[in-house]
Amino acid sequence: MSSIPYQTKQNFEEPHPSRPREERLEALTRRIGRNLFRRMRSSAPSFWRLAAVEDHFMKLMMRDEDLRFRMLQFVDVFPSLKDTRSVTRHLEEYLSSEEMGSGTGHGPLGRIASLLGRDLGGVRVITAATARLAITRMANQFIAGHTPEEVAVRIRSMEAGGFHFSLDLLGEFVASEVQAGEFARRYLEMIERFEDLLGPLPAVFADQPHLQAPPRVNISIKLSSLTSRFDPMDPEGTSAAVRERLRPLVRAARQHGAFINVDMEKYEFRDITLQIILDLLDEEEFRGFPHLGAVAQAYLLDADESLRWFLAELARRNQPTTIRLVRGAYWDSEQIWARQKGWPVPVISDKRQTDIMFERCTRILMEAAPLVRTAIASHNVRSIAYALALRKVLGQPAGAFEVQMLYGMAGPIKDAVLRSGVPVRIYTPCGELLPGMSYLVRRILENTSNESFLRQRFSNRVSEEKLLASPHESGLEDLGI
Amino acid sequence: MSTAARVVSTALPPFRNEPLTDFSRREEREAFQRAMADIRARLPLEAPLLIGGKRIETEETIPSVSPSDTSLLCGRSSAADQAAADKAVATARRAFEDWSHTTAEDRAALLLRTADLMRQRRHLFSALEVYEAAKPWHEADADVAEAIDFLEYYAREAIRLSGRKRLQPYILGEYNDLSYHPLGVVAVIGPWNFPLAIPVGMSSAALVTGNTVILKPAEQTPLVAWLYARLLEEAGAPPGVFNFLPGRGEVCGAHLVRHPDVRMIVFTGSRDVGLLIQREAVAAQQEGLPFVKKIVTEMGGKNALIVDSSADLDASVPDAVYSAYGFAGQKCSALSRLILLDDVYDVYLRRFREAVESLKTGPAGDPGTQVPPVIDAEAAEKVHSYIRMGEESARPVYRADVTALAGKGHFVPPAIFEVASSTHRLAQEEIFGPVVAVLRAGDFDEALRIANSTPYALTGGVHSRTVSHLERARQDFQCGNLYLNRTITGAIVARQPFGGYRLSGIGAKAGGPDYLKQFMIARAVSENRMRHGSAPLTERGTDDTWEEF
Ligand SMILES: Cc1cc2nc3c(=O)[nH]c(=O)nc-3n(C[C@H](O)[C@H](O)[C@H](O)COP(=O)(O)OP(=O)(O)OC[C@H]3O[C@@H](n4cnc5c(N)ncnc54)[C@H](O)[C@@H]3O)c2cc1C
Repeated sequence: MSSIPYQTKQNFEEPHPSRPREERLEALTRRIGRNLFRRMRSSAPSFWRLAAVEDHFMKLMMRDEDLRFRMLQFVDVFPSLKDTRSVTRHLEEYLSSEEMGSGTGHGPLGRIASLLGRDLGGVRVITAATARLAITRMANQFIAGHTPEEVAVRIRSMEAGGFHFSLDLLGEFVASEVQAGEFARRYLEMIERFEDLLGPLPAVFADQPHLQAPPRVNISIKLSSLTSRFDPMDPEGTSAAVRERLRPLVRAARQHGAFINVDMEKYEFRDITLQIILDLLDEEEFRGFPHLGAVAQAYLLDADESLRWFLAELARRNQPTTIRLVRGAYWDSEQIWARQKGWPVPVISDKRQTDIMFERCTRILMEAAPLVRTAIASHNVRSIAYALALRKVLGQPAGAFEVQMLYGMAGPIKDAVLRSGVPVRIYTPCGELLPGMSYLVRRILENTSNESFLRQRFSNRVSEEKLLASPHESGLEDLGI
Repeated sequence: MSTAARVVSTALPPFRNEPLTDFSRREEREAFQRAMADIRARLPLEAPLLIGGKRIETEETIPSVSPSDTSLLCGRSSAADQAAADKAVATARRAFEDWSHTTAEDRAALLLRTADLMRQRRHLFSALEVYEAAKPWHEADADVAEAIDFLEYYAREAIRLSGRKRLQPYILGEYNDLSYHPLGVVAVIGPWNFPLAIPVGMSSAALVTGNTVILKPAEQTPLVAWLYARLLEEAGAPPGVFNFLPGRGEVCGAHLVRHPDVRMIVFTGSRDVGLLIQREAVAAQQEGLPFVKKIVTEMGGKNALIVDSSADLDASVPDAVYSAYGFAGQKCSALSRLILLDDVYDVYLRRFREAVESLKTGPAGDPGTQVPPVIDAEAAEKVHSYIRMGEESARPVYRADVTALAGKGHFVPPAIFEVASSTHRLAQEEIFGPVVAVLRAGDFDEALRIANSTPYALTGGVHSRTVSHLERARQDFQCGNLYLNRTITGAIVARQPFGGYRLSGIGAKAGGPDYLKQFMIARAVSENRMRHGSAPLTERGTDDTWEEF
């Protein structure tokens, strides 16, 4: 264990000396953005059409915070309820308690009922069956299948459409070594077997070499799922325990030609996660292996500093890899954890600042080419357009870069980006609802959040020009001034 | 009012909990390691008696040995005999004359200075706890943070409760007020499991309310307490106001309890000693004391966590494991009974066992250690005897193998037993070690009945997502601290005032708004201000009024 990001306060050299002209970049970003919008075939991805029961569910959650909180609590308990009676009981307990003003048509349950309830003798009530349907469909929206076989079917058709994938095995908290071992076993199985499940690579890629982004099998893993003692207080012990289970996976990835992307989790785990990746790559056996990827989260206050540190560590080792840039999925949780502990909140509190940081990190990353390949993981058209524009300005080839999006989200944007000639990879979760609950709740929070690009675009119908505006602009126009 | 005190009362920011150290930061880990090395280099430490500002070393000393490594002598404390205890009481009594006439602001200032000093040397205190009490890093850190919290919180509380408060309803011509006053000499008898926070909390509460204090620390952890005594000195506690009296409980502790000039005894520790203190104090009463000895006792628990059918198992397994096995179960709040609803019983028990199997037992100084050794040989033997009992009369589910650690320190194996009935001794008696009794409940009502079936009522918990069950638990779960959908240990000053009832204690809530009142008597004064039909009209409702009792 040598160094950890925030202590290394040295000033890093900007990796690329020739700074693109800002105006040109900005103009290009908007032009590409407009083109992307034009390319979006359908008007809205499925659940923003608000036709089906689960769409109403989502819409209600966007209406008021308290209702969203209650509905999420119900969604959370739902998979552990064994029979209709207890589903009904919990529906009532969460959504029609007295303080909320229950009664037909008034309480939250009433509001849901008036939208999706069944007519029972003149009164609309929401039944356990309706709730089950809504939640199951909502889960199906974001989770590709319960088993690898089911997911393989989905992925085959995604591939036929020209998309790549990264497979995610759902399940969050690992409390025991048995569970950690089980996770490692499942990861290994996917690395070894998933290609067989998929069958031959569809012809699309052969025809369009610029869309290729090998290796074909790409697995996203969480390091905290590889040991029950993932404790940043004990970095050496944690690194040793994780690497014990990571080694066979990386070996298999090398043998079978697969990519392992290490997801990034909560802030407390960031430094140790990056350190473990470096520790593994420092082992003789794995030196130079280019298919162990990392993630940078732009919503962190010190995102750029950490990214620079990590890139410098890679450069020092002449270690190639791909880094996925995301905004970050734990924004709400980080706020809560930090407040409860009395620690400084590690995430940026102003969305626009996150957007600025995202662009800054995009630039830091892309200037680290060709040693580091960039994956822009976002549904935000401005962010994607910025990266595409920057690639042009920097004169980098198409393969130097890919865009990633989540399964079940932003369909039209995926199509548009793909058709503009950029490889698109879809992060595809596999698993049951119960272990997938944290993932599902994060997606619901993300999609119903007022700050979400998708919501701004497809629900709030914010204009394209606003959505494409530089995050550096004042924002007064948002206020109608 | 001194200038320092005036600053205190006018500029005191609202109470805020001392944050725990973020050990995911490398500089914090390194600072902690430096502190450990620093302390290690100074061992063995010596803890003398401190009476009236004078350090006294006794011939007899008590060794303080590290539970993680019994070959490591942390230091020695002097051992007060009865004569020393008498001297301490006489000194404290004399000091009371002046101290009881200081202002609450002045006394609060002393606590705040002490808190500042403690903050500056925070890791040194924690590091010593790692050695002396075998507290793992983050547990030691939490103990020191809690000590700082008590100082900060009670300082503010003392100011809030000070002065005359005019009582409502206001009646023309009649002036009624209430004020709080100190009691006298307070003997504080502390435990070893929170070797800083609890002695600091009890003694600072006594001091800030105008009492003088004799602190008798636990025999196992006098050194941590001695560092605190020195801090108080440094912060400017006048001689005799705070006296430090390490020694054997049977000798000086018992003597303090019976002493006719000891007005109040504040104790945290085992049920047996707590009840003994109660009896001794009553016996002393029969010898013609001119007051009723006041006793505040905080004793054990046999704390249960109910896991309901609708619980989030992912979240509740780690909560249960940490509550039961953190610090090897040596917290009075620790979980020792796990009550599982029938329909989750098998799944839950399997996952719980697997999680317990994954725990790492080891020396407290190793940052990877999750279960440290217990405090001493006697504690280890007690745990072993309950494990033997479980193996004979209950169904053993799991018992760790700690033979690799044998002989190094007081290591005991984390263990789980299924018991058929809540009357089984494993489900009734406090073990104070890493042993959990698992019970089955047919429905939520039965779970509550089982939970309430011990003589204790300290902490309890429910993991459930059924709103009505949580509501029932609020009403019917007998415990001083009920925790819903979280761990059942780790009460935080001000946010979760801590303490139990029944045989767990007298119900005083440490770190809560009622605690300081235990250390004071209330006096009411009623003055007739009417003279021949004239009364001061301006008095109506203008005064500082009592918001809350
Ligand atoms: C392929 C892929 C892989 C991913 N892997 C990871 C991963 O490993 N780790 C991880 O954490 N996330 C990961 N994510 C999730 C990702 O963080 C979210 O999907 C993403 O943040 C959604 O935002 P957006 O970029 O699509 O754009 P937007 O909708 O424009 O941005 C929303 C995001 O902005 C941020 N935000 C919201 N409110 C505020 C505010 N008030 N102030 C500041 N910032 C705010 C949040 O990060 C929020 O998610 C992944 C996403 C994809 C597509």
